[in-house]
Amino acid sequence: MDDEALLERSRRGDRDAFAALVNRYQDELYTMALRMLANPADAADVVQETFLRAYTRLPELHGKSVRGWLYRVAINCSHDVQRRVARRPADPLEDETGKIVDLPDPALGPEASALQRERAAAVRDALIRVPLVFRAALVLRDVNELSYEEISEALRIPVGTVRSRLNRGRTMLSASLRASALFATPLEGNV
Amino acid sequence: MPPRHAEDLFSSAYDDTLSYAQQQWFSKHLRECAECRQAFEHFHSSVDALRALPSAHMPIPVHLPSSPPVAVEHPLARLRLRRFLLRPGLATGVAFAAAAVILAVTLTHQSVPLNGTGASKSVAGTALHAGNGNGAAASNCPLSASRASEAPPQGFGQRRTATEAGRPGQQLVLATVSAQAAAGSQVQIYALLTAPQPVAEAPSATLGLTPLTADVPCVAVASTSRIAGFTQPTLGRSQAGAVAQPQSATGNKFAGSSSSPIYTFDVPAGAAMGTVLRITATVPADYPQPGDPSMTVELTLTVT
Repeated sequence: MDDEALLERSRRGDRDAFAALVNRYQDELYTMALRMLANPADAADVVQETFLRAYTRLPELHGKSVRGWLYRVAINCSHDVQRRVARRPADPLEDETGKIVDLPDPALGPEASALQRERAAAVRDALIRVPLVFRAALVLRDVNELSYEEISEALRIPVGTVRSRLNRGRTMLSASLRASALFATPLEGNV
Repeated sequence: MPPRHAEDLFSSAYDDTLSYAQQQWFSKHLRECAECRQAFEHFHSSVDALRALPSAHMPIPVHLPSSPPVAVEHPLARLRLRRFLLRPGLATGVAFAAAAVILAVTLTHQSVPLNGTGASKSVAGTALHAGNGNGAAASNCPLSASRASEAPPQGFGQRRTATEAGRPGQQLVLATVSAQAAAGSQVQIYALLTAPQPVAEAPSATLGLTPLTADVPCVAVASTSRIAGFTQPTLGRSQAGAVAQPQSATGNKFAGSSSSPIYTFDVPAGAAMGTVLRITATVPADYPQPGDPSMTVELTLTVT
């Protein structure tokens, strides 16, 4: 069943239809929030708040892309969390239940796995140093693979601004990674 | 890097969205400029590395209100109405007169002692139910007005409180008698949002003797493991069907038409010892005032 059908059933009070939307989008929204905030608990809060707002504001979804709307709400929630929550040390490798979030490729040997994890950590560190306004465009494009038009809708900015923010965000990420010894030379393969 | 270099085109080049003319210039420039060539290689590798980060999975279940989703009027609609009423002209006078009457009635009702009747607040109704027009019991979230109370009754030893920095005096309290509960037992959950009552036409101001609004928020329970027969808490009903009342020396403090801020939750008999139940009280954004952020407070119960 597509998003529009689930949305329509949700508007008529079908809780299961809304739960299906939650199941469909919770992981990609969580990934976005995790990359935005680098804190699993905050990211989970963002997802919770996003769906709660969606649950209570179904009329606002008339004629709009469910996915784009959810991303817009999640971005706003991420900004709220960023403003409200005091910075605290986070272990980006573990979620609330202690599970490893960014698992290395099991096909790699121990040394390659360790290097892969170090590089992934370096990328996350570099990403969190990108200012939020540019990080949002960067995450939506390069983590969640949204189109320029979808990012424009989610951030409520013109497509031209999306391009310029994306260019600046990527340039900042690259500059930050250049300072890392792991990335001093061009990379090979995935991290 | 001087502007004659190609850095501004890196992102579009990565996404392969350069125009034909731009692509021709970019390729020629990279062939001739080692600095830009190396910089673009690093740029490309960096974005590739970001894209290679694995997806993550939501580690905890999303809590949804136990009531069905229902279309409600957005607070923005009320703001538009307010702007309309504040326009210069005859409508302004009529609107102010109506507002004065409403304010007088409201203040009169709020002066009733806590153990009186008929003083239940209708914030939930105006903020969340307005505009339904269908007369149905259409709570999109089981927020309901309650009698003001600043603290859980005696005996509720496990408490968590959330406050909002931008709203002094506003707090969301969640409490249980204990942090542990036996499988098959019934648990009482105290949950209450209290907030200063805004003065008409000056939402951020408060009266000298600040009256409080009190609302029972949404409460949901989730388990860290799958449990058969798991049901969400219900507001104000015990197993016997009677309205649950807090064990307070002040007596029937929450009687009347308002809701008791006590939920009851039946710990599933099949819950294994050590199972952790996460209890979450949530108030949606824009409540009780437009512009308010959402508030959430959480505590846990361990099944014994």
